[in-house]
Amino acid sequence: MEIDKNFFIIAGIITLALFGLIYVANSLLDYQRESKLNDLRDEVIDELESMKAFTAISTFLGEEENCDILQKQLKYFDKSIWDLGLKLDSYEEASRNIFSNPFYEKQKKRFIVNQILYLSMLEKMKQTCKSETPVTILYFYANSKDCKNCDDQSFVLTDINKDSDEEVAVFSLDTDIDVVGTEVLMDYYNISKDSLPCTTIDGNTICGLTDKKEIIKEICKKENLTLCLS
Amino acid sequence: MNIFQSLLMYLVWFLSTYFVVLFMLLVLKYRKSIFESKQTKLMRLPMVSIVIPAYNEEKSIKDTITSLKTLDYPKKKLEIIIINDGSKDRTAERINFLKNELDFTFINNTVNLGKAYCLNLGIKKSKGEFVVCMDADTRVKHDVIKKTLEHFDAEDVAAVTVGIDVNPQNFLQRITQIEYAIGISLSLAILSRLNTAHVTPGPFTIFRKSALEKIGGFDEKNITEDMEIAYRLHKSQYKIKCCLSSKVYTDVPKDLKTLYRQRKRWYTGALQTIVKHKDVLFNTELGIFGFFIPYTFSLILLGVLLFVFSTLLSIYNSLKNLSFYRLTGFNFLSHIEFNLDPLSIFSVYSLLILFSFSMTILMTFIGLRVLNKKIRKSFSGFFGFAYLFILYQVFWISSIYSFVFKRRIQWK
Repeated sequence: MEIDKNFFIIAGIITLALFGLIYVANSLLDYQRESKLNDLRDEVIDELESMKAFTAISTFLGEEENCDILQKQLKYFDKSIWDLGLKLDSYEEASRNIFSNPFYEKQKKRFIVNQILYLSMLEKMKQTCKSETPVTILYFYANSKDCKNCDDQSFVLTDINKDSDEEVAVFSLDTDIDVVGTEVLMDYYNISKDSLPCTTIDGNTICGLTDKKEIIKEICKKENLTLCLS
Repeated sequence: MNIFQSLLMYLVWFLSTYFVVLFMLLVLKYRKSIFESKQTKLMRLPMVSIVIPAYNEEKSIKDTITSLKTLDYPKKKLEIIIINDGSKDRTAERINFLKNELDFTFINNTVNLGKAYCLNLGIKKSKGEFVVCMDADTRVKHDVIKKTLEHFDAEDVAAVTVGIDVNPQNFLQRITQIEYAIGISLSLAILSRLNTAHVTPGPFTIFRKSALEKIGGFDEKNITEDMEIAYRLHKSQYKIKCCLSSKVYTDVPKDLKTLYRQRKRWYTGALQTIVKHKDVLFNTELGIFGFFIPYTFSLILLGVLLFVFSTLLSIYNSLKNLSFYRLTGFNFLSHIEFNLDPLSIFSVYSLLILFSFSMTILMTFIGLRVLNKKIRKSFSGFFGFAYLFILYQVFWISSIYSFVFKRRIQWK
């Protein structure tokens, strides 16, 4: 019995339709991911705006009197921006395909800008309130293959941040992404792209792969944190 | 995932999904007719010879011979030839003992000469117009000869295969039962409709003797002589049909080690066959067969490549991640977290894998329904079958290695 040749064509059409279905499902997921990231980013921007407003009011109400409130707000913000960073990474990984999605490039750029804004507010708060904590760690890295130890260093800093979320504020600055603030900070701390990964702990820069023990030692040179007791 | 891996994944997905979809369409189209007996009654009952080579089959030979006693076929028209192929156990002794129960010719080789040699010897000695080549660990249903003979309705039909079933005793055999039902019996029924049956299964196939003689019998150098002969039959413009209205029961490996040895022989033999008959590839004179063979082999090899690549990449990433812990004093606990956010879990690749898995389950379900197998009875095998592809990859890798480095593999 001869098989109708149309079967082969129908099977091809069904296969393409099934692929189309997966493509649509993935596009919906991508859309959901992007919406959620946009929402999180908006929340972060709102928090930044409200902190800016609060700082502005504090200048004539007396900055030092409002230190407690500002510190609390910054602590809360630190968690929000850290969560956004993690979501950005995991969603980018989930939406990765043959071609890269430009949405994540834009989001990362905005994320770095927000981090730098947060950094400036944090440093200002530390000066005004004469506070030593949280310890500021700036982490300069590159996603390109040129930076062989960046993945290792990211792992170490994530570990430290998990251990002492309240006492340490880690700022991850991707040097592959063109942000003026990053360039300014690199110039200020004398960091070149060839020396990455570099970690700046309260102004002191260490370049090259540094393990957890070394970084904690560096942190504990200045501050007596819970982290230093273990 | 890098670009190479992504492209490979898409390619394998397209090839395998197309195959599964086509298979399901054909199964649904022919779900009734593949079981139908030929309505045309046999005008005459031809002489049929059954050739059974046996190597170390002391445990199963008795059941095989006993089942032959139940055959619904005139004894005068039936000839049974059993060949002991230098067994190291008591097979010869058992066969001799069973001579009291059934009339058959017994050839006792003192040395092991191989299955194909024994089959050729049996075919040479046989008087039948049709020859059944059968394994010594297979039991027949009483009507199998009459039902299969009905399918020799044209001179160009050289062989007829049957449904192969299993009496499962453990989980692995339950999976194998599903595999034999879907991957061999039902597949051959569908492929024979496309004139692309690529194997005449060893447990039971009935051949037209003149066709066997014309093509020179089995290839004694090939370790999967039942596949190799199918290629030569196609090349000689013969047809292989499949009869699912009767079946045989065969023994299957009880443990992974035996399954591994069996599959290694099958897959190495398949490679041996494709290399020997490379002229079938894209040969338009052979119809769909000339395209089906390169299609399936490409799918298998690309699948193996994807599996190897993904496994190596996973191992590399795991080792890399593990090496990170050296920098944190091996603080494993701090990084254990469960990310249950579906938006982080579902990527396009996980959707493709999930979809392929679901398609395999659906295909198995449809196949079992068409074959009238009770899903509840074969439940564990049903789900185990969907995972079998992981084991297949390991078997294929080992077989490719054996083939490339010409390692010797025996038929049992």
